[in-house]
Amino acid sequence: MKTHRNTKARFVFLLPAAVWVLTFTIFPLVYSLYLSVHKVETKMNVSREKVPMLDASGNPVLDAKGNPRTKIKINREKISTWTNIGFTNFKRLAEDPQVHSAIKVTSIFVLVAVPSQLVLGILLALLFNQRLWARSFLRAVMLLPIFATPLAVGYLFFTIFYEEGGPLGFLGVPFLSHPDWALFSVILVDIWQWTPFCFLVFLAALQGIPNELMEAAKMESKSKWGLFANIIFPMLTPTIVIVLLLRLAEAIKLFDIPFALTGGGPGVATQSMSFLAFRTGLRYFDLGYASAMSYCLLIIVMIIVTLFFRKLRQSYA
Amino acid sequence: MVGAFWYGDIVPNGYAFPIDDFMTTGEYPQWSYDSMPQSLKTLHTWEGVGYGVLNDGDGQVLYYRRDALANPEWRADFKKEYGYSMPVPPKTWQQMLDISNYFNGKNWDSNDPDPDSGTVLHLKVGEQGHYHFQSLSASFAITPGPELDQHHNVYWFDPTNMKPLINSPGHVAALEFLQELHKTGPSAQVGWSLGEAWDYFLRGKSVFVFSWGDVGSLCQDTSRSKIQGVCASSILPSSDTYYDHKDKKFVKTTNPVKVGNTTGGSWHGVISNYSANPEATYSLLSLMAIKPASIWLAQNGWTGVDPGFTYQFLEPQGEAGLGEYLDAGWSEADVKDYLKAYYETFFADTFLPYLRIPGSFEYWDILDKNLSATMSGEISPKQALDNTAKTWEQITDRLGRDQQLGYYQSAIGYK
Amino acid sequence: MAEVKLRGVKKSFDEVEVIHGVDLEIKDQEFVVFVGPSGCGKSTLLRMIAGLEDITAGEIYIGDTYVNDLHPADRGAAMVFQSYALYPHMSVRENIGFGLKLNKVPKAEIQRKVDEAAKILKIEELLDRRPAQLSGGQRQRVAIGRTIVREPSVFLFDEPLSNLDAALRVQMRMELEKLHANLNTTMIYVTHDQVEAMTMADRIFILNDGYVEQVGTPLELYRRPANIFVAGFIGSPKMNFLSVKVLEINGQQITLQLPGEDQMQLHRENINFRVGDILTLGIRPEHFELEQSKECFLSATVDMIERLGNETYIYANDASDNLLTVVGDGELDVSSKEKIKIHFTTDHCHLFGRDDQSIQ
Repeated sequence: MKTHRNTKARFVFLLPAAVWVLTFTIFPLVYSLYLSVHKVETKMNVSREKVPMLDASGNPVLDAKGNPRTKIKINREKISTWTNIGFTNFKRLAEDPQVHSAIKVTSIFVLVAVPSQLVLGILLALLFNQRLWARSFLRAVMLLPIFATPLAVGYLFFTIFYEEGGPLGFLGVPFLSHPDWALFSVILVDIWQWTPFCFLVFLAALQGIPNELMEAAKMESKSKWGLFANIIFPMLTPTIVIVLLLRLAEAIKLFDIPFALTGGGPGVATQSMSFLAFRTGLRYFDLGYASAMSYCLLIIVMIIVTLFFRKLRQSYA
Repeated sequence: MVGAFWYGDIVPNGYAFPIDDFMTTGEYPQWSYDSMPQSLKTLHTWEGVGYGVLNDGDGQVLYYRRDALANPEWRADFKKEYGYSMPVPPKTWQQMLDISNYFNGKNWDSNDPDPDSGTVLHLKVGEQGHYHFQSLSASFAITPGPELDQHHNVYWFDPTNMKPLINSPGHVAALEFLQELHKTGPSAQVGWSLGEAWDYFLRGKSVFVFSWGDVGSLCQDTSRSKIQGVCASSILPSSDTYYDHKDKKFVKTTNPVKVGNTTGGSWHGVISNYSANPEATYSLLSLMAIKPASIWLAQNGWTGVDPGFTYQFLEPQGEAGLGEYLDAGWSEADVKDYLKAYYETFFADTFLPYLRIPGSFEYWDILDKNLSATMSGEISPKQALDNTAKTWEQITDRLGRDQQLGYYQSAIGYK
Repeated sequence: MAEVKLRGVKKSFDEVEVIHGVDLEIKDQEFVVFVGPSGCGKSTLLRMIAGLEDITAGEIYIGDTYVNDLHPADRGAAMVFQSYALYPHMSVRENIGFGLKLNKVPKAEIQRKVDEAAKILKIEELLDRRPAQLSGGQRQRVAIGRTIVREPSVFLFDEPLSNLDAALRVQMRMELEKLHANLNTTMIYVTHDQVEAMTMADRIFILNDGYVEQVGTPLELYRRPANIFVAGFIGSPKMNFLSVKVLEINGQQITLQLPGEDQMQLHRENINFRVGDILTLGIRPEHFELEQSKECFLSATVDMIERLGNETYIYANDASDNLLTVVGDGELDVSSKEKIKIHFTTDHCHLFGRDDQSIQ
């Protein structure tokens, strides 16, 4: 009897979470899959009629001549036709040069930005793990980019990269007007924004390595590289895998920085997959195709995440 | 507020509320489609029914520095270099390119000690780059003629089969020309939208900009502009060579026709069929469409509202008095040029047809991305426009070729 | 194998000096224990020898080599840490061979040395395990193994047994002694536990507040503590201390007033005090007896009795309410609140002057 009541209570407590997940995760997921294999056309049938104008207490309003005034009421009937088009949208993905370009842009971005963030994060963490002048102040400064809104960062760097009289204008670098440089600039901003996060996590991990362990190793070898490669790096590995995973999943979704900094351009040089999906879905209102793109992205992310978790589990075993 | 290019997506699907009945009741602030040039009136109606309430008139004109082009020293030097007198304003794009080239890299005004540019453009992808191309390419790619038929006065598609014309030799020549023009300005403009480009011109950094009416009124705002009084304007030049779609060859002409445009959105109010109270909505929109509100909006650059209506044009073409503009702080020389330029642009005989079909934005956005890739040097003009045409075909097929053809024909008045 | 010499070694952390000029010499093959309470500087001193702490002033020699500026790995010292400091991601074999591997010793030789060390420490069957799979004692052996294979000229131990349970501690203590006997290498061992110090050391260095208080063999320290600190630190239970007043000085014969009515006489050579001075008398609990057979006695009241079986601890208050500890045999017939007389001989009395130094 008691168990029974417990079950009920458990159900009640779980219900909000379940409803939340169903409403905001499962439903959109299923709906967008449904959308991706359909062509949706929405039309409205409209008719207008004149109805008497009523005042607050429900009496007809009269005009100057004493005739009842009328107003227009719009009757709407929304007609959506869903045509099953099978995997047409997914076939379009395979043939669409914009998609190919977006995958290329996203891949280059991920493959350059994420490793750079990790390496820089580790180097900075190693630096800050030593005694350093004004360490806590510098550490606080280092972390500031984490607290900036990506969109604002994009606009901020638009000013910094401004080629006619901007602060970096003297370099003569076409930060935003040359396709390769533009992608590099996007990568640079992402590195600026996310290296601190990697740094923070790695610093915490480094400080979690017992001091005596490092001292024991130090007494055995004076090769700093040997200690890093054999002690520090292996002990950081689980953390690196987690950070890599988080950064990969985040970086593949790249959207806000190009949106604010380059508009995806010049041309499509910085148009990422998410950006393209956004334009397709919310600018061309080709929701089915945008859903197909998003699914494509989701599958890529899931494959990567699964591989990583498998690797992670192995490294813990 | 909708852009004129939205009509194809909202009217046929039943989202827009027709206003013709309201206009005749006399119960609302009175304005009329007759206050508009035919070119703008078209943008406010769909298949003969009125939907849009007058607000903003968009079209691109050429702005140039009156002082630089009038300077006798520069003029003599230009003549020596190019072998002809610098025409003011330039009649052809080719002349304009020569002048732009001539001034580019020289410090031709005293606003700052640095060298200045010829022409500034706003080319950022996803923004207004493709509008530049539309206005500029019109006189390269349109075959002028008395009537609109399969080959004459068409620009976007072949009106018999919806095959894109966007990669025609005329269009390609125009894009090649735009690349040349781009070289006479700051290279950073590939990443610039309106704000950056206008600011550059207003700071006195370039001789030319061709853009919307905002520039003319912003020139008068001395908090942002260093060039009030020397901010001259004219209808856009025309190309001395155009492509004949019928004979499939380029035609050179000494006296090219002026080509008008309504490039842009001509942003204005349309009442949604979701409106709970269309009468009140119409009443408010109409209040902003009558002369006192409309002329005030046009006189102030920051509003984003540009002129195009009879009560904004000077007498005798329109109803406005010069004094009204002088009182609002305008330079006399500037305002006369400015309103003349817009009058000629909106009342031109030959016109860049406006793309008003379902999916207009998507067609334009594809064009825009390819243009941007060209301007940043990634792909050639021919390749860019071929890509565009190919994708346009896919869009047309996806949306339904017959339906698109029908809307296209009625949008440009093809019979 | 080497001797270790420290000359005027000082250490400051920021402005605070924690080691105030230590001179000491450790002989080759000697087993030396640094002992003292927490914060006395014994670990810091050891870490300075190891090279893990900078030396603020002074000189350190290992063998004939001046090592102040040498990297820890180059000093010929190997260290066992309190937490064992095993590398969690390496097997036992890798842990032991790690230093050799990094110093580019050929693989076959590493294998041989690791096997040899494992044999000495009886951990051959553990070689493929990870540290997480080992017990505390096993980890300790691995940590020692890691030092053995490097064949250092001096072994350093930083409280290596304090994480083990009591029984294991006794066992490891003996094994370390055996190891020292086998390897014949200089060993420096830091502990706060005087039992470890007494049982293992050839010589003990007692540190307090960054000074070396006394150096000597365990029995020297036990028998002739140089001052109250050493007297109180060495020996368990702790030495009893009584305030006594000098009543009379007759040549080298002095009469002292004990708490209450009792008096006693002592013979001392260095009379550096006067009649009326208050001195400290120290007597170890094991030197107190309840049988009426000794020269001197104290009157006291039993407060508490702890019976350990083989012996009995009696806690009793003297006339001045000092708590005295008496160790008697296991069968001792005594009960709480009982008035007793505590007897002792003058031979076992330690007398300390007002400067806390022992009066001989």
